Amino acid sequence: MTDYSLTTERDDDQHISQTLLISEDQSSIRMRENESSSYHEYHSYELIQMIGNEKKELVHWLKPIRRRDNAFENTGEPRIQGSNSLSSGIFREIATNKRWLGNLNKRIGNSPRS
Amino acid sequence: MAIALALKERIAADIYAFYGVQVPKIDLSLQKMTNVIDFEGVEGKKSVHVMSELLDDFTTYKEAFGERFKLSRKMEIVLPNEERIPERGLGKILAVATLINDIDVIGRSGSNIGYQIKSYSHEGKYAQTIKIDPGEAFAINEVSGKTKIRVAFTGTPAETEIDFDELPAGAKKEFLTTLYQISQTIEAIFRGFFAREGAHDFVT
Repeated sequence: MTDYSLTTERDDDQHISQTLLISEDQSSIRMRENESSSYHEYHSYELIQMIGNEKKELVHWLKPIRRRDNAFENTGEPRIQGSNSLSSGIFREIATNKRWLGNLNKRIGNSPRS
Repeated sequence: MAIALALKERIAADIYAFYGVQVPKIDLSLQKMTNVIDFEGVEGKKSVHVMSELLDDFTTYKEAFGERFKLSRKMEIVLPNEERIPERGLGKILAVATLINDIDVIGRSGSNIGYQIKSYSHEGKYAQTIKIDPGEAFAINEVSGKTKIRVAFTGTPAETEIDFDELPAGAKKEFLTTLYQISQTIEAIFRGFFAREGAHDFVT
């Protein structure tokens, strides 16, 4: 078990101190809100959901899926070795300057509606 | 068709991430086709691409082990200085792959999984396995048996299977732990992956 302490600021400006005990494989987490309370055991994915209820921006898998058509520009570099996609290139994320791989599934080439 | 396939890959990546699998960020973006192969006359035409953030210091299993890569109980990650380090994450990946029938989870010679070396004072050094390119998830294929980890090893063909007993010990434990997590997942969570705004082009 790894022991963590953290302080969380709630919406009402109250601070709560929590202690987390995380198992070595990170599959389970025991948490208590203060020294007098008892530990409650969570699986890590449950805790992620619980945090997600407080701060929804963390819940990536519940966010709307929105296309980011203007967020990238093609670097013009050749496709990376081993790629067998129909279209494949290296793109730059304009806001961060990070490099992304852009691919188009090769099945598209067989689709009359592509 | 293009957006449906792209959404399928994005939702698959989100499900992997939900169970704690390390995956790169994936977004969808309308881009001009580039470096096109096997199809004439479409270079420069726009279509929805799957965008995956490139990871620093990432090595695919194919790059690390070569064309003959095969999962085995004795699999070890060996660094250039001959140091042998444990692997983490592969068992989770395989468990989620069985859930979403990602039959190309490993990829040809290990090209769809890779790792980054992690080192923490309280955990030591290990290879964190990362799942990339879940484009074959939600495959619809005929199967002959019901109790095998049905993931293709040499590309897409569906009837190649991994023997659970041949997994490294750590991967076995992760696999079973993740299966338990999957069994505890409520239906609303599964529905949430597909009912999100923007997911309808894959669902319908």
